[in-house]
Amino acid sequence: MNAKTAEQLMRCHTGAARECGDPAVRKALVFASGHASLKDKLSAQMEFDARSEAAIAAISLPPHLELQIQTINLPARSSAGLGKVLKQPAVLAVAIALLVMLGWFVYSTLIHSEDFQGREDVLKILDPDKANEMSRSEFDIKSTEAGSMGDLLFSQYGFENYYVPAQLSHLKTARCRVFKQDGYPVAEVSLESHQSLLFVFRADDFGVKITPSEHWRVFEEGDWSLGIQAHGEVCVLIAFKGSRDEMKRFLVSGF
Amino acid sequence: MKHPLNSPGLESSPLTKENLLALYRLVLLLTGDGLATERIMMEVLGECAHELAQLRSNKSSLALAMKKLRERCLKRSATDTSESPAPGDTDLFARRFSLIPEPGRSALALLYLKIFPVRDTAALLNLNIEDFSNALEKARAALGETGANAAKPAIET
Repeated sequence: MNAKTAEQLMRCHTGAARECGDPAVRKALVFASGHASLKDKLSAQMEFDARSEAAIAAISLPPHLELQIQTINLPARSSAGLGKVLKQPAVLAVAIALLVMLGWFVYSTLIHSEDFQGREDVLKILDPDKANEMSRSEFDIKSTEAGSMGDLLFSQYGFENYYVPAQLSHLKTARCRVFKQDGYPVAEVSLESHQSLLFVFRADDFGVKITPSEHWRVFEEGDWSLGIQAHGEVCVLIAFKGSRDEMKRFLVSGF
Repeated sequence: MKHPLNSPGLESSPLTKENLLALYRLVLLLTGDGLATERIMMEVLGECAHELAQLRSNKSSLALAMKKLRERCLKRSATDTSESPAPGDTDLFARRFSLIPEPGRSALALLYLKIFPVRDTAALLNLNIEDFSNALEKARAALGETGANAAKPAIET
């Protein structure tokens, strides 16, 4: 650095050299402070600036102007403010909690809804009018436990997807059959308890969309009460004549 | 009593109290007139309030406000109408400061107020560092000649 450059840069600073944030200007100040002629110029400049800055420091914002500026009502920095607010841990935690609650609400609503896709086809499987008049001769007599029907249905009717929930597996069966509904197989087992009917079928065959869960969807159709749940691709439907509350108790206790 | 500028409304505004003070000093140094300073502050901050709210950093807000205020001050200098009846002690320095020709007046005011780094200040005034330095040299000399500063600078040309 030569004296000319140093003099040019030292004019761009005020205050102590150590306060200078610009590396080139700081270098110029160091150079000037060790230079024979620039040293005095720098010293005079610093004294002059110190007096000027003292005069400026005495200038204060008039209180009435502060109040007037307040009435301008400068709008808050909306986007940046929102971003800052959202980044606060407490707000973030609340937002996550709300999302979880919303997700649980949606899930719970889907699980507990009486309505579901394919409900009309399920009612066709039951066909309450037909069930009322159904001749017992269409059924094969088979007295065992509901949970033991899988092998029989496979060996005798070629039905592969039989499944019965654990809480109903001990129920005594009276008769069974496999029939075709719209070309798709449905296993039907009559139970002694409540004279109920148990149906097992593939959900996709009848366009049934139910979230697989241990939860029973219970609903009524005419005099009949029905409970349905999905296990993987298999749907289990149980029906008897009675109230919805009776069905709920039955599905919990098996009696 | 709660300080007015610490009220919730202004706390969330783009300009902090410290920034407002710096801007007030800048305008006063550029105009040399207390009444004109207050009027310009109110007018300009009111006009660009929404623009300020769109900016993400205090530095950007301050730069915008500084630019707008300076433009208004320079426009007023062209008409050169004194609004204050009699300057006070503080205004006297400002009034003498306001006699410094541009761009040295703005350059020296911003240098003293330390609002922005040197090179940013030069850029805001559309000056390269060499011209900025020359403007500061002339401004210091001019200020010394007005008698506003007790000691004459040794850097006058």
